[in-house]
Amino acid sequence: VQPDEIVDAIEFFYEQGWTDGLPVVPPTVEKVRTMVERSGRTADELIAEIPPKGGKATVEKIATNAVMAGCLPEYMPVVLAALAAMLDSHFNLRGVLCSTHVSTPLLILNGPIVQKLGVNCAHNVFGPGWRANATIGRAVQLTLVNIGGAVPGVVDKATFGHPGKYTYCIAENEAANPWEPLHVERGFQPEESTVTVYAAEAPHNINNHGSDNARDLLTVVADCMATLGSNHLYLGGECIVVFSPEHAATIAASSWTKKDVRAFLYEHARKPLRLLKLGGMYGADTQRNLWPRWVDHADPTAMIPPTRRPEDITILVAGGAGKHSVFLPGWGARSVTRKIVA
Amino acid sequence: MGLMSPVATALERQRQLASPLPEPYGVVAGFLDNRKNNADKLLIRISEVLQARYAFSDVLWRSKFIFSRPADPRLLEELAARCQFVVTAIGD
Repeated sequence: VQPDEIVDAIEFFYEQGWTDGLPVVPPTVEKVRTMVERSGRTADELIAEIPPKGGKATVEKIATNAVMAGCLPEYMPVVLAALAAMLDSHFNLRGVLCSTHVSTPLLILNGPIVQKLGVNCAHNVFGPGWRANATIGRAVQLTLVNIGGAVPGVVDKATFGHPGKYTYCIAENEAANPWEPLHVERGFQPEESTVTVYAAEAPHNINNHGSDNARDLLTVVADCMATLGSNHLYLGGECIVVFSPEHAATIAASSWTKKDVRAFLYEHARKPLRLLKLGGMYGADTQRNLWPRWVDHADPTAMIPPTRRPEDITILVAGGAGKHSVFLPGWGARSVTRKIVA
Repeated sequence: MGLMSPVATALERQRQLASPLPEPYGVVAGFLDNRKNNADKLLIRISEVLQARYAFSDVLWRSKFIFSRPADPRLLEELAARCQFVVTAIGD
């Protein structure tokens, strides 16, 4: 293969509308075959019918998109597990892909596969520089467009879209986590590897260099979580707080557990009903069944929590040194965790 | 260089358009509110215009549980069984 052939192939894929705007690796027959073989499945095995178009996602078609994204063959089981997780009805993939909202699927990896594949979980965890993060997330996004049919501007008519629609994949920093990691909390063994999918907005930074105890630190976090423009105060669903190792250590030093953190945030990340009525998504649904039943709809001073239950606030630890954490507002649906069978 | 296509065809479905309705005088009409903001307002106005013109024998009003998910199949079966036509819309 000559270099000009590769460039021609890249241009051909642009002409067909099969890229995300960036160049793709030409999916040669040989490379796709290797990717399929590494999955441990047959090429024609149907993994899913991916919305919104209902495209037939066979192992071979997914492998083709994974090659284009730049994946190594050993990444393929992660891509397959992520797609399977997104097809759980709790995730509501069709709704996520067809919404005008700004969220997009985020992949969160846990377990030994993080080290095995070199998935970044520390400094710059949401940023560029790591092949596994960049290409696993990109493979999923390319699959949603090329197989699912969520073509930007044609079917995907999100008002703004999301930079994470190029790629959005992180790992939890389990070594720096003072609590049990997400997958163990959800019933998996520490030695199992999992992928969790969650329809997330972009990370919203929570700068806190001043607090030296859990209560003060989480008061700042709670304030960042309760914003009138987010979906949560109106629709509930699940939201995620990603604590940096330093913030997590400060909270743990106060002997607060994850349960304590959730209880505090649920109690303090609130806005009064009188403000919610100004706009946002306030309407018949918020008055009907999407808030906790104890909310007094007739009381303008009633404080509305960001989720229906404290358990719907998911806690992660990731990132590197520095006194920042991030809030990941969601779309209003739930995350789903699946085991990665490598 | 042999290259693979990354796109896929949609699974085949048994779908066909319903036959065009004759003028729907005196039939049973259905209105399905998907619960998006203003969907009810839009549907009420449409129903008023159509009712004045066609004098329906009955009108069924139904709502989805939430706009972001497909309607309950039982709800769709009920509408299909009882109505000669159904109007659904969003009003965003």
